[in-house]
Amino acid sequence: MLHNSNDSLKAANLARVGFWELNLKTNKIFWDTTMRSILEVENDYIPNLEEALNFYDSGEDRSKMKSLVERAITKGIPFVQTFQVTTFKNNSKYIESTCQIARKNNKIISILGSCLDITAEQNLINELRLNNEKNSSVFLSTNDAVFIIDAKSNTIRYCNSRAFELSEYHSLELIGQDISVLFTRKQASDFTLFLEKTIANEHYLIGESNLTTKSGNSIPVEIAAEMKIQTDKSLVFICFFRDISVRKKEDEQIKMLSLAASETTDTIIIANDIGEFLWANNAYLELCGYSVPELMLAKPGHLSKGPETDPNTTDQIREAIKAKRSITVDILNYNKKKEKYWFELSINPIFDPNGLCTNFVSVGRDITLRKEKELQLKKLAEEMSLQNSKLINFTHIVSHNIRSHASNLSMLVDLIENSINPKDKISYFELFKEGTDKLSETIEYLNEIITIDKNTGIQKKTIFLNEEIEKTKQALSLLIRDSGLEIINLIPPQLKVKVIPAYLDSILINLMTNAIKYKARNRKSTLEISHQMTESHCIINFKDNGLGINLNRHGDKIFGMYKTFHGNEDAKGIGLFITKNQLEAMNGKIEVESAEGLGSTFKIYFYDK
Amino acid sequence: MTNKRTYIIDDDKLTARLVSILLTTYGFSDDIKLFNNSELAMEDLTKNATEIDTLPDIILLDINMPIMDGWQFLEEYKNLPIKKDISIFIITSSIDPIDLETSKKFPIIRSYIQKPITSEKLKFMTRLIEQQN
Repeated sequence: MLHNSNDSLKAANLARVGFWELNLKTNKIFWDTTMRSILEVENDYIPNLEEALNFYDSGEDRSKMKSLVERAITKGIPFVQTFQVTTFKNNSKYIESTCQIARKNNKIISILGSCLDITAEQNLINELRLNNEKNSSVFLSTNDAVFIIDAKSNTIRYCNSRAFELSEYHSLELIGQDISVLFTRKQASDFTLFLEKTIANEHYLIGESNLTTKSGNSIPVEIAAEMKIQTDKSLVFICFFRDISVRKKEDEQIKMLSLAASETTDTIIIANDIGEFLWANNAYLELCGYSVPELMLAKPGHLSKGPETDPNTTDQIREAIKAKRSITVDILNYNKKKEKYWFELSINPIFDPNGLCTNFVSVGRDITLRKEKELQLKKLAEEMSLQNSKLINFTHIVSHNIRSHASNLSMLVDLIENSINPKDKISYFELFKEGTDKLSETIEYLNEIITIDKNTGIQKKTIFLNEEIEKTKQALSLLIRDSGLEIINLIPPQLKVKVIPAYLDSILINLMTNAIKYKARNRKSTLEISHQMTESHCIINFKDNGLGINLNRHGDKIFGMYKTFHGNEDAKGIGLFITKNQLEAMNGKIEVESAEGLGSTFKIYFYDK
Repeated sequence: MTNKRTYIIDDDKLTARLVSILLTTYGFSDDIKLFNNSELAMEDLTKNATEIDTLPDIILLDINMPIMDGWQFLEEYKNLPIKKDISIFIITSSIDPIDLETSKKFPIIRSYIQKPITSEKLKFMTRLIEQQN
């Protein structure tokens, strides 16, 4: 590549500027003669990258150069920067280094630049700075407290007004005093050591200490000290004291905050403005089981999603992140071992002063225990309310049926007691028999219902539904033939349902006889039995073209006890109530759709899992 | 006080018949019409709404009935153009407090009577009707 740089070379020589190049293909470094003379190396010296960097003074200069070179190589960013170097012959120099990027086919092939020795200029600047510092107006204009200390006696020769303000001393109290008056004993000896180091270093040093004021307050200060030879050959230290109590306080607060964030049992995740993972505290890492590198690869939500996570909730979160909104949700998450846990999550966008979203901070906690209790409680409440409505039905049957039979009997006793005519008495006894028959019939139904409720635990069997329907049709064949009802069985022969067989039998009989009882008289009656599958249920539809039911008027009563709707002699109103109870005992349910005059569809849900 | 025309509306045929016998036996009324279905009673009243002589003086109404229950019957009854002051009694075996509460929403109900019907209850009802007149 060197031939391409001939022009730069010439220019560099002309300007007494050194030239360097790092060929990224061969990894070889080229230094021209000027560059070599600046660094005081022989012409046969062959540098490599590591050795080249070692010329830069250890610490800030070297690490800065290292990172700038790295950025230039990987990202193609050029730079111009002043550095302090130590030459091969151990001379300290200031250089101004520039760096350009050479590309071929859009690929960085080398980095190259110039190097100018600015030691003379830098020394001049330093001297000027020192000269300026003699001028008290500079002291007054700066917000730093300035002390000029005699190196021999450690006494204060001069200090600016800010120094009085900071230390709370009057000028007469400080001038001529030992500098240790501003420190505790331990800090004073540290400060003396610090000043001695300044002498050894031949350059300014920066340190931190605590200044003790006149009233005894301790103020954290940053101290910059420099040794200087006065015109009278005496040595002085120029010390700048900067009050850093605000910064210290902030540092302390940040330290506390970061301690809280990393050690709290609540989980904290920080993401970028589009929700990509940046950082998480230990509580989250422990909860989710993933490591930081694993989390880095995805958005936090993607890893913790699982089959039972509510997609609505994840949609809500996605929407909120897109709209840069706050959101609080309860979500079912999965850890690395695919174990479920309930997570209460509050996500908040962070905005910069210009109103741009920079980050999202999410705070959450594991609420599995609470959620499980909640769900348990909810289930319990549902069961209770179901039991309650059953109890209300029982109150109803006791009230309306047993009581009505009892009142009939009591009216009959009244009549028998008060009738004189023996013929009347005998006819009342006939009625009495009718009343007691009805009472025992009611009690039998009641027994049947109680038996269903008791049998919730009975083992279910898997049977072919089509076959069962045909069997029931056979059993009711006479009734069906007389009624003229056509039953269309569309259930596929291989369809299986898991049921208590006796209940299924009773349900089929009930729904078929209902279709017969409530058929429309003016048209050919049909009952079509079909099915549909959902994720959790097998639904069997019993669709008739009968009288239909006004659901607005009777909807709430249709599956209740002792409700009939058509004034039909056979209708005892118990059938659908029993059907409903039998289905509930099998974890299923029944629903109805109906229009008066058009027909009804009873939907039977079998829970198949 | 006899010969007050009385309608008994009750889906339980035995109850309707027994109430009817009791009304006759205790001289409450001997002009009694039974309806086992409130819709039939509604049809009758609608047809005779303006015929004061044909309309009943007293209606004994059950609550729990198929097709149209007692409350639905009363809702429709309110809309009939009947000028006659008919005494309506709820006769029920229900002990559900909700039913008693509901009955208070209908000012046309003269009283809420629990089954069984006894001579005492009939006397009480007679007094109520006489007070009204």
